[in-house]
Amino acid sequence: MKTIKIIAILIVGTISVLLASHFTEKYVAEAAVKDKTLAEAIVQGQLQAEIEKAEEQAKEQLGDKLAVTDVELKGQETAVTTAPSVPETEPIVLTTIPTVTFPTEPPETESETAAVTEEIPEEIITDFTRGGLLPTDRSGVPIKTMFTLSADEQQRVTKFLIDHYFLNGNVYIKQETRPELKEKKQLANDMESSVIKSLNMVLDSVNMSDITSLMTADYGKLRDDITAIRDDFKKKYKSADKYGEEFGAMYEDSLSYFNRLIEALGKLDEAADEYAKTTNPILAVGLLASTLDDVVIPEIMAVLEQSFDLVETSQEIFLEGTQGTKLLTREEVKDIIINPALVLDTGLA
Amino acid sequence: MKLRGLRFSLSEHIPAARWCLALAVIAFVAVVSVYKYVDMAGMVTFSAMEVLFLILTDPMNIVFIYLPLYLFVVCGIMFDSGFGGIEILRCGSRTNWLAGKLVTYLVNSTVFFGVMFVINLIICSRAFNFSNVWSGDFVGFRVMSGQPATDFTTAPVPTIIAASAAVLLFYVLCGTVNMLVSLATNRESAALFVSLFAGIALGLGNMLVLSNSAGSQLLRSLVLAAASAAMYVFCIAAVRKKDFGGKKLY
Repeated sequence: MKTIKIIAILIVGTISVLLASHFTEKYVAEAAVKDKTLAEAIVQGQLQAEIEKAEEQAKEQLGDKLAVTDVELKGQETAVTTAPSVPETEPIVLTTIPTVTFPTEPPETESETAAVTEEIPEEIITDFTRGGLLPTDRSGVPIKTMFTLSADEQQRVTKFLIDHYFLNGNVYIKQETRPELKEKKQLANDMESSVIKSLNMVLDSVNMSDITSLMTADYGKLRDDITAIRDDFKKKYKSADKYGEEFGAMYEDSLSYFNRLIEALGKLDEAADEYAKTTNPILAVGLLASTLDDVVIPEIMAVLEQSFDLVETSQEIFLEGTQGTKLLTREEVKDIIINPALVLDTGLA
Repeated sequence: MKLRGLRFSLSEHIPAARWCLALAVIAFVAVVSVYKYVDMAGMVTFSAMEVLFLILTDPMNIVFIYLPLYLFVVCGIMFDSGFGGIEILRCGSRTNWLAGKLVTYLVNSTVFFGVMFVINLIICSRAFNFSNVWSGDFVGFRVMSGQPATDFTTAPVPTIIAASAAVLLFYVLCGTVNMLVSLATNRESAALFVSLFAGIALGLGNMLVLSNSAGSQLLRSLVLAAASAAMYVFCIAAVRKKDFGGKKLY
């Protein structure tokens, strides 16, 4: 009886180990050919620099006593990666980048808000084009991400996006001489300023050059602050549609944007909580990459998607009576955010 | 007579169903543990010994998964053959009987730990290559996470042996707590839960010690061995006062 028990235990043990080995080998083979995700490329880029620095410190401290080697996953050839090119001359440092803000101050010369009805004697000509700014052949363009840009590069990309999509309302108000149009543009700018303020708050809370700051920001407080901005906006511009259909559309689009941003901040808050609970620093790296893949990047893209309707409505208002502006399409904006090298390395920014 | 009692105690305790379940769970957990490190291999890649070391020193695995499984396998040892007077007569004295039980605990702990170690080693070797020195990624990552660089002056194999000894003795200590609570309460379930909570508390306290160097692990092992010996002394005191009365207990 005891012999039978032992034999049964051995059989179950052997089968368990064989099955476990089979599944592990299969998983390793799949991992070897899997493309690196954008998040993994981002995390690897940042992590590698820090690990090499720590390794150098250890070597300096211990000298010959420390012997190290490089290892690879079993069966994996030298990986052809899609990791973004990190400039060698500019090591990634964990510093706070200068805040890039959208200007929110009202134009200096204009302070009147009373509606002045005047007849506009001349015909209003509006002429702008959309699309065609980015190169069609992108085979030679390297791959970069917003998280690995230097402060200067981030500013250049931001400026390009503002000039060709998001538009700086203050510039158009200043240039506008016709009172009726000036008033419309001022109102659109005022409505947009709440959206810009909320965006600045988010950008101020995270350091785009340091991935881990995405997981340690206080999203709960951010969400509360932005909810307050939304409620304030709702009260203030409730009857914006009386100034025109486009303002009614702007009002609805702004509310949708705020609601989507608040929802995204809620999900980021949950993800940050999960990350904070991890006690194993090594497994935290894996969690960081999967959180970027599954939560952060999709939420950023979803909020961006929601903002497009609002931005394009405000574009129509700001560009009314102007000519010659070249705008990006939504797809081009998304392409630039996913790979800023499309403007940085092509001479556009 | 003593050897007969010991052989009887060892051969009586082969809970086949519990061992089969334990083996299946150990294999499953080993696969899940290794999968996590395979996923990270695109960013940081470790050797097989390093992954094994990480698994052995991960409190989540050792305390919350393997410890309950271990206690599930061993908690019936004190209650085999009804805790009866006949077994004690066979052994000659209560302390002999208890010594036989202790040896049974030690053998089962060693077998459990050995199985756990070997299965994890096999699964790690399926995914990662072996190396007899530390990898640069591993050293860099651990130093970046706050571990002292001096921990890596010892090669991987002696460090893993020291870590293994500490884990084995941790389980032995939990086993002796199980033994003591069994004697005190006559209930297998009470012994299981009390020794489980004691093991969790000890495991969590262990997390406060940052260094996993070979020296720290050896020191930890000495402390655990001393604590196990102390528990055994308490067990001897308990067994001398115990009224067995021939009752079949559960």
